[in-house]
Amino acid sequence: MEKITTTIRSVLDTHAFLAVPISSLSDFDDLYASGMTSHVSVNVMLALEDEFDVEFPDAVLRRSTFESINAIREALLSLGASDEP
Amino acid sequence: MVNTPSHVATHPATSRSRACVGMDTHDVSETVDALTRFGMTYVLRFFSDEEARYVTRHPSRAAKYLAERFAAREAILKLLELGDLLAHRRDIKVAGDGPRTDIILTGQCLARAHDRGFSKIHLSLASTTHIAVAVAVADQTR
Repeated sequence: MEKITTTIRSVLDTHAFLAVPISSLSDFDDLYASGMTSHVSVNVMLALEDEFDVEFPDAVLRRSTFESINAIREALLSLGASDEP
Repeated sequence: MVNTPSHVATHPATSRSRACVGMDTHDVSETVDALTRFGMTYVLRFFSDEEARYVTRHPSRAAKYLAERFAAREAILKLLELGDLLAHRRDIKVAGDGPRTDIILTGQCLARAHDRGFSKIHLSLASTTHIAVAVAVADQTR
């Protein structure tokens, strides 16, 4: 597993308060359907910014950016986050 | 609170208009948690400059104040039948405090309010130590 995906899963495990274990979700499962609330998605966004030293600009701050691990990964890569181990 | 799909209750208000209602509740402890973890970064990234100034001036009231305003945004998005809180968070400003609270809409939220024929949106906020509640009522004239 890529480091970036591992780190995203760790952030979600700490901040997302999902109804199911993060390990049970695929990279494409809907995080909102798994219990992530809109308020919690703000916490997840801020935690990801801290972890990856990036800032999500307004243009990508939308619900769909945080709807799955893969969507988060794509957004982070577009902001210059590294996926190297 | 779980982000449920938008629901807007309507009922006849007058012979020529009707009232549309959106409401939401928010757990104050979630706001306390966000403030503890992220401090003013949380406030500045999500809320308006006026709301951030209030929090700076009244830190002891910050959690309930922000929880009410988070619930307000969710209630208004339900009223407008818009589902993306992150995208529209800057389009909704809750100005003032207490009985003088006003809603200021901009961008897509303002356009949607016009599309739905809302002439005025009224907002009522309340909170306990645990829960913040917001009820938004719009006068729909067409």
